Amino acid sequence: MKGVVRVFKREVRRMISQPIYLVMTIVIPLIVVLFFATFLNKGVPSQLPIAVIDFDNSSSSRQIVRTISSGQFCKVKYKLSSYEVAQSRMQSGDIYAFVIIPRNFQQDVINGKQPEVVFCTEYVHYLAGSLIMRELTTTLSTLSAGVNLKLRLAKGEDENQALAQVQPIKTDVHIIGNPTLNYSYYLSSIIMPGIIFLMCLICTIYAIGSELKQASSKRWLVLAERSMAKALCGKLLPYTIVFSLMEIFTRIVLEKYLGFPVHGSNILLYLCSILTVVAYQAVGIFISGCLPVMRTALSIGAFYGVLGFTLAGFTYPQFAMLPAVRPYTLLYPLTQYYNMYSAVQINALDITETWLPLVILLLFNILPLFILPRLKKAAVRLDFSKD
Amino acid sequence: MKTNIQEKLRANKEAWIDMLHILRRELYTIFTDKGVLIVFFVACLVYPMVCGYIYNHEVMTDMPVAVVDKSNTALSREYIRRVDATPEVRIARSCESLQEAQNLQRHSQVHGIIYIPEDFSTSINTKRQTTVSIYADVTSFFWYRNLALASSSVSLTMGGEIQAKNRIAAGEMYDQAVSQVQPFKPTQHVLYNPGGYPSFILPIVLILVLQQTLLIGIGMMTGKATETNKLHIMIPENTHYRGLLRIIFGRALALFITYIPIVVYMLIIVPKFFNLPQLADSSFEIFWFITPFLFAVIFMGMTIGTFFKNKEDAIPFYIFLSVPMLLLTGLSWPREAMPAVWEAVSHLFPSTDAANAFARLNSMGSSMAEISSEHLWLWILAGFYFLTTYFAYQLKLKKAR
Repeated sequence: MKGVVRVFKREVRRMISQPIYLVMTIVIPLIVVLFFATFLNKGVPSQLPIAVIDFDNSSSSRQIVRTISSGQFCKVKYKLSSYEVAQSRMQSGDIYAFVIIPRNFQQDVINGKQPEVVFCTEYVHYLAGSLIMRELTTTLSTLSAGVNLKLRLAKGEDENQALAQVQPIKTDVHIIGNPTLNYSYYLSSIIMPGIIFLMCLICTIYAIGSELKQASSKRWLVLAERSMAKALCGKLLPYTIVFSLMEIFTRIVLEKYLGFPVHGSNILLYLCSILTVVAYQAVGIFISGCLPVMRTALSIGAFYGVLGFTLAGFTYPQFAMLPAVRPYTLLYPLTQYYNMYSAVQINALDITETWLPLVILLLFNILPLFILPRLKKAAVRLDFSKD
Repeated sequence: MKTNIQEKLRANKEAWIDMLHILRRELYTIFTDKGVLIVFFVACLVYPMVCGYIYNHEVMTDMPVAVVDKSNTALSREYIRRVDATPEVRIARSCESLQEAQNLQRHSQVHGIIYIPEDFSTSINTKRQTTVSIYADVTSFFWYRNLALASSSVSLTMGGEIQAKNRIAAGEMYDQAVSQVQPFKPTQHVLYNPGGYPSFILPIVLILVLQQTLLIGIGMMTGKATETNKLHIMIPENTHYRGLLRIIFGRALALFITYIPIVVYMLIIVPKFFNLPQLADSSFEIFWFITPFLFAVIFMGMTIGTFFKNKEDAIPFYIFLSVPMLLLTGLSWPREAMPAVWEAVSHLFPSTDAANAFARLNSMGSSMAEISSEHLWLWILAGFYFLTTYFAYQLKLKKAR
C-alpha cells in the first residue's frame, strides 16, 4: 500500500509540472464538452435550401411551392427555369434538392390525367438528404390528398367522411423521450463521453510510455516496492479519478444543461462511466506492454481508439454490419458503455436486468495481467529500440 | 527573356541547391523514422480498408420490430404482411399487448413497435379513418428512420387501394378512380449517391485520414527535431539551413512528394476497391484539387508543429479533433444548422472544403468550375498557413540566436 501511495504522489507532481498532462486531462475534455454543447444546439436542421422548377406557373403550382416552403426542414431558395440549371446548382452545393412541376399541371389535375411531380434529391449529404426526402414525400402526398379532398367536398361529401376516405389509414409516430427528433440526443450522448474515453486511453499510454522513454522506469518501480502492479495502480489512479470526474461532469452537462432525457438511475450510469474509464486504462496498459516504444504504442492506440466510434454501433447500428465484423465490437469498452446508456438512460432498466455490460467492462481488467511480466522486463532492462 | 531566367537561376543556384539538399534530408528523415512511417504509410494503407470493410454491408435492412395486432382480421394481417415485406423492417415478434411489446423493446429484442387498433378493419369498412401507432426505439436515429419509412409507405399504398376500391364499388371506372385517389403523383429520383450511408461517409473519412496522418506525422518530425537538437530548436544550424524560405519549401516539397502515391491510393484505388461513386472526369482533376489541400495541411502542420516539445505530443493533440473535424465538414450535419462561429472555424481546417469538393467531384460528378469556390479557398488557406509557418520559423530562429 505504501508503494502505491508513493507512486501516486509522484504522479500527481508529474501531472502538474508538465502542461501536456493538463491538456490531455482537463483542457481537451472541456473543449469537447463545449464543442458538442454548442455545435448541435439547434437539434433539428431547418432552412435547408432547395429549388423549384415551375413549368406550369398556375395558382395550383404556386400553392405547392408555398406549402413546401413552409415545411419544417426545407426552404425554397431558388426558382429556376430548367433541369440543367437546377442540376448544376446541386453540383455546386447550393441546393440539396429540387422539385419539378410539369407544364399543364393544373389542367391535367382537373382533367384527371394524374400528372407527375418529380423531386430530385441526393444522399451525398446523408442527413439533409434523408430529412428532405421524408418531408417532400409527405408534403406532396398530403397536397395530392388535399386536392382529392377539395374535389370530394365540392361534390358535397361530409367533411369527416371525406377526410377518412382520403386517408383511410393514418400513421401516428411516437418517439418517446425524443419527440422533436433532436439529432443531438442521438449523437452527443455517446460521442461526447466517447472522445473523453479516447483521451483516457491516449493519456494512459502516454504516461506509461514516457517512463520508459525517459528511462525513469527503474526509479518508478523501486518506489513501488518493485511490483509492477503496484506501480501501475499508483501511477494510473490520478487519471482514473480525473477522467471519471470528467465523465460524470459530461453526463451532468448533458442532462442538466442540454436537457437530455433521463429515464433510469443516474448512479448506475456514473458507475458505468467509471468502469469504462478503468477498462480503457486496462487496454492502454496492454498496448503499452505489447509495444514499449511510446510513439508506436500511441499510434496504435490512436488507431484502435478512433475506430471505436465506428464499431460501437451508435452511428451505424451493429446489426447493419457484416456478421464477420460484429465480434470486433466487443473489443471496445465504448460498445458496453453505449449498451448500458441505452438500457439505463432510455429504457430505464435496473441493475438486475442489465448487469452484463458491467461484467464485460470488468473483464477488460484481465488484459493487463497477460502483459505485466513483459512490461516489467522492459521497464527494468530498457532494452527495446528507442526509435 | 530566356537569358534573363537563366541568369536568375544561376544567381539563385545556391538557394536551389540548399533547397534540394533540405528536401533530400527530409525525405531521408521520413523514410528512416519508424513512427512517421507507421503514421504515413501503415495508417493510410490500413485505415481506409478497415473502415470500408466495416461499412461494406451497404444498406440497413430488416430491422426487427414487434407487432401488436388487436384487430386480427384479414385486413390487419395484410397490413402486417406488407410491412414485413418492406426492405427496412422485419416482423420479429407478435405480441398480445403493447406492454409486452414495450418490454421487448426495453430489452433491445426489437427496435420498434407497430400497434394496430381493435377497430382497424371495422373503421375501414365503415369508411372511418383508422390510426396505426408506431413506437420507435430512440437509441439510434436509424431505428426511427426505418420504422417510419416502412409503416408510412404501407399506410399510404394500402390507403390508396382502399379508396380506389370504394370508388369502384360506388360505380366509378377503374382509371378514373385511381387518378381521383391521387390527383398528382409525387415521384422521387435520387440523383447522387443512391448507395446511402457507406458511400456517404467513406469519402469524408478518406480526406480526414489524409489530413490527420499528415498533421500527426509532421508533428512527430518537428517534435523529434526539437528533441534531438542540442539547442532545442527545430531549425538546425547547419550551413545549408540559412534561408528560411529554403527550409520551408524543402520540407514542404519532401512531404508533398511523399503524399503523391498515398493520394493515388486513397482517392483513386480505395474508391475503386469499394465501388464508391467515381464520377470525376479524370484523375487529373482529383490531383489538381488535392494539391492546394496538401500544401495547406503541410503548412498548417509545420506551424502547429513548432509548439510541440516532444515527438509524441502530436498524437494526443490531434486525435481528439477527428470527430469534430468530421462534423465540421457540413456533409453530415448540414451547414445551415451550424452556429455561425463554428461555421467560421470549420473553414480553418483544410479538410472542410476538401471533403466538400471531393464528395461533389467524385460522388456527384461536379465539374472543376462547380467546386471552384472550395478550390480557391484551399489555395488561400495554403497561402495563409505558409505565412504562419514563415513567422513561426522566424520566431524559433530568433530565439535560437
